Amino acid sequence: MSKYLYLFRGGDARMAELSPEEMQEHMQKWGAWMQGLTEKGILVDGLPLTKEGKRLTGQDKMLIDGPYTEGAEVVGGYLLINANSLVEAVEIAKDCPIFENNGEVEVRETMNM
Amino acid sequence: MAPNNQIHNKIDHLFRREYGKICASLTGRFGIKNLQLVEDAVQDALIKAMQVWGFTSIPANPSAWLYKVAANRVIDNLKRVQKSSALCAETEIFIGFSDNVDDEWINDSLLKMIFATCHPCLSSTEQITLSLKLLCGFNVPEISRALIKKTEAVKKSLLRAKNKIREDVCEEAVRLAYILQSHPNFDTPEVNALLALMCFNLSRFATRQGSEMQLITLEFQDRELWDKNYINMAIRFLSKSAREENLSKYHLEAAIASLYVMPQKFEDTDWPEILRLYNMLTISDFSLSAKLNRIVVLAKVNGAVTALKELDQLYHDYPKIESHTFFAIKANLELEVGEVNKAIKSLDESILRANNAIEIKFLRNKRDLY
Repeated sequence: MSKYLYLFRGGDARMAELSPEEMQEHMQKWGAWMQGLTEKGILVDGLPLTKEGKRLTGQDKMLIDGPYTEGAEVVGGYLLINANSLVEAVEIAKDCPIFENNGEVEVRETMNM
Repeated sequence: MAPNNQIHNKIDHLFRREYGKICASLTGRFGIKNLQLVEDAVQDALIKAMQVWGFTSIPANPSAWLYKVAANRVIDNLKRVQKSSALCAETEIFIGFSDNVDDEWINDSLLKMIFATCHPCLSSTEQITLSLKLLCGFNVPEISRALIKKTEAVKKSLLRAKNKIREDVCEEAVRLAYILQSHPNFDTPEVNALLALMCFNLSRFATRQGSEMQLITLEFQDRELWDKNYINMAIRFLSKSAREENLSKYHLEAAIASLYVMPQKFEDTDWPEILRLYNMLTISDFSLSAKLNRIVVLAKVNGAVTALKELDQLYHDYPKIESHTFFAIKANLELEVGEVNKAIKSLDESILRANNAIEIKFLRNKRDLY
């Protein structure tokens, strides 16, 4: 059993086009998916992210403003889950509602101590 | 981190219902002139709810959560827009009572919104379209499916309907000022000057937008279509306003409006006289809009080079200027002196700051010419 990180990206453009009714449906799908993860004891942690941010870069720690060039590259949230393998973590991610809005999930294995 | 299905099941159509309720209350609070700003803010609040609630849990009072997020969003946007204008005091008042909202207030606002969306000045299609959008929280694709219409047609119908109810608000303002003026205590030069100003502005109202909802500037408005009744009323109020020595801001503004409206042709406009009046106006009126309008007239009288110099000085005085009008005027003057690249940059700056779909379209069209 290892911990796996999901990084959620994109989908913002489509979400902005949704009607209130469709937004609620989408929100409820997320709620149901997350609840499923909780009930199975898979979910460890996770939060959505705002669009505000800064980047420190280089030896002189240059401060760069705000997120990141393309909308599709901006991480909109993360989850930490328990799974037996990368393959299983990927299978679990396939049920994520983000794909309805053309978003993507990056699945990463954490290093074990 | 505990999504709760029981709550999820209890919120049937919550988003759609809240859209109408919050739009109505915030429009009641911020005025129908800010309707678009309000609608955008409510949409943003719902998007935020979709992202946060789906991930974590639905708050105990979802309606209050949405209302607060949307209200703050409107206030932030108003502050941004008004930083450069004289209306800041208005925002402060709004901040004061943005948090206390009760059912009675919401119901009153909803009722007002129903009257607005079913106003007799709207066609029945416009009434239905606007009600579905503002009261029922349907979006354009949903309305076009329900009414079996093209989305473009629905968009146009909405825009037209919103403009009509805004025009009606202007007429309402004239009616109130008229009642004020009818009372002997308030038949003052200042009230008459204000009425003259409003009537001059209303006389041109219908010609400021074309059939494609595009903005039409004074030069290209069809003078034949200006409302002669309003012009005659304006002239009457203007002459009544000249009873005393006292020259108010409204006197100057009404006099300026008359000089725009009275000539037969745009080419006959008496720019030097308008400039003289603006010079007087900007002595007491410190608003950015008065200063910007004066610079436009200055360009007509003394040329674009002089006007650009004053515009630069204005930028020097207000380095944080956020007015899209400022950059639009700058672009026009830069075009006049042949600085096309600079003008394109200014147009981009203006588009970035404009917050009204019609204005953005106007600026984009202009931008696309170069």
